[in-house]
Amino acid sequence: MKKYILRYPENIIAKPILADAIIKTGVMVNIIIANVEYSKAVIIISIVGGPAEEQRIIGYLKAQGVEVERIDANVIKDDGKCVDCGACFGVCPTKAITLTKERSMVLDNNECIRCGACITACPTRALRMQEA
Amino acid sequence: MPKTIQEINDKIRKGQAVIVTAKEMKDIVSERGPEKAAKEVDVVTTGTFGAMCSSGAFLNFGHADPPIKMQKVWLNDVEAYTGLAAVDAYIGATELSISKGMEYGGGHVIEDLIAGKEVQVKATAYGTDCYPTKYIETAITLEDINQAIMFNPRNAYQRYNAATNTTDRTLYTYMGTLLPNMKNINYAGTGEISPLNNDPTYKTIGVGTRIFLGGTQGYVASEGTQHNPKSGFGNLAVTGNLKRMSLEYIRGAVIPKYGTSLFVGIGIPIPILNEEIAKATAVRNSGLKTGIFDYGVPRLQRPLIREVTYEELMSGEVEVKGVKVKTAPLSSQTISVKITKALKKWIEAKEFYLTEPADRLPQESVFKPMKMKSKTPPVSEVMSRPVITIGSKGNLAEVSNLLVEHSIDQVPVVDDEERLLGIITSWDITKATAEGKFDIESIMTTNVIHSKPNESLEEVSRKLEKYSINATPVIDEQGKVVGIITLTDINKVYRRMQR
Repeated sequence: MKKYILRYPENIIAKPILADAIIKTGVMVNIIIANVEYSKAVIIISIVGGPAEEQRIIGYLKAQGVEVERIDANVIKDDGKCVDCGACFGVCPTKAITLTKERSMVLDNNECIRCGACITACPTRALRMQEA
Repeated sequence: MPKTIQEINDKIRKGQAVIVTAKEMKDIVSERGPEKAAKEVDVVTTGTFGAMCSSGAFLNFGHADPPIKMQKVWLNDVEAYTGLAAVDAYIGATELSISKGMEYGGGHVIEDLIAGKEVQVKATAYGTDCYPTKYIETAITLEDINQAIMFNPRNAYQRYNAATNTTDRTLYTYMGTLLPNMKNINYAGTGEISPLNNDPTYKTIGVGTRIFLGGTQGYVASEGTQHNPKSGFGNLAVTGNLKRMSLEYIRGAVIPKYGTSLFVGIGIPIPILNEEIAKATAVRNSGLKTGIFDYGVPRLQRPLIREVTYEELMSGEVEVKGVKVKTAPLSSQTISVKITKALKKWIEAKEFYLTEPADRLPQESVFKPMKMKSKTPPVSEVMSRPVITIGSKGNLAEVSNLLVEHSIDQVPVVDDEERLLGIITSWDITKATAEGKFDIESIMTTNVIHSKPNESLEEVSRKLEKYSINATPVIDEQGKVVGIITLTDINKVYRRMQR
């Protein structure tokens, strides 16, 4: 599932734009993180469906003044620091981290829900979250 | 016809020795049998790479002018042990930084030294006629100091217990993060390619054996501390020159909310002197067993959940009571394999020769628990009882009266069969009054931190501290409240013991 960062400018924070977008477009989303502050709001969503659904709801959100950016990477691995110990694999609640046959870890950012469990568990501090 | 180490070294010198990695050897023995394998293969290289807490290094800083006899020393705010001669110190992997806590420790000081980084040194002393200086602040690199000798008293365990957690809370242990309700199993060790698993009776690995340590040549110093050969938990004390080590094979580690450690890479060559040794190096993960233990019970004897092979552990999931549970390694298979290959290359390039052990490792020693002169009683002997409880249908006034009448700070809420439903503390009452809530069910805290009658006081103290609470109800197997144990109860016992 593709994930997007929605950034709300100050003037539209108070409007229920996301709920409105879901009802109007009929496209379902998972809200992964919502961080609403006094002067800005950042919401991270994943969209249920294919490119058509994505286009429909993103088009609607943009028309309301929301800045939309696709997230291509959530957790970023520093290969120079990673020792392939696998501590991240055990704590990942989704299938975002898998181990190859040689037990080298592989990140699938499409499955990542940005919970950060792997980052906390990493003994060499090789993982970090991409800024939202 | 058995070979000798001398003969193998001669073959290495002539470039005729056959060296294979532990992984390659498994197939050779299954295909050709141990007899032929022993004839054809001269050396098998094994390897392991994992967080090994009992690791550290002796450093000699050189003398200052005027000189100092360091009484205490800190390297990047991490204390090193100086109960040695004037400017000798031992930096241990698990010592924590006094400024950064668990994010930086002795393991990271060692990593930074190997990386060639400058390390801040602060030392204090009491001053003597020969060593007048009382305080020094400077910065050093690995190159600046005289010696840096890694000495790890306990490394390369033959096998490790695997860990899981049956409690309903996340545990942070030396076996990593253990999720609640047995959502993961962590294991360590590299199984069939690990050094001692390929020589389980220590026929070739002994005192003085030359090994691969952290990217350079090191030695086995002796058996490791807690060496426990009879139960298959043998381990090694190893030493080597830190100045020649590489970050590829030595790395500082943070074990979340547990502490710091050091990832250490070790490789050991096994000379194939005879058929029996060849047979031992054919061991497979399917033949290596360990146990999955419940770390939810913080006692010396943790409950065994089930036996398991390294093959199952390495598959990524293990079935426990009908449920598939994720298994995660804490040792690096990738780097361990790399070590077996690197060691093979060294021998092929005639840079590394095998050694005859100067002495054998103990085969019989046992690992004793600590001798305890006094033992704290279990919860059941210390808890308060009978315990005052209240039913869930009561109200705010009734609870308040109970607390005042019995001079207590909390009261467990129970159902008709005295089973624990929740707890109400004086703080809950204050909050309920402020929020205008009156019925017990909306006031009480559910998901109560509780204890069992046979738990130790140390476990309960840890819980009280971890969750910042003053008491826990004690419940039996059926969930019935049989007592309550408070900080006051525990303090009374400790005070009595100190007398």
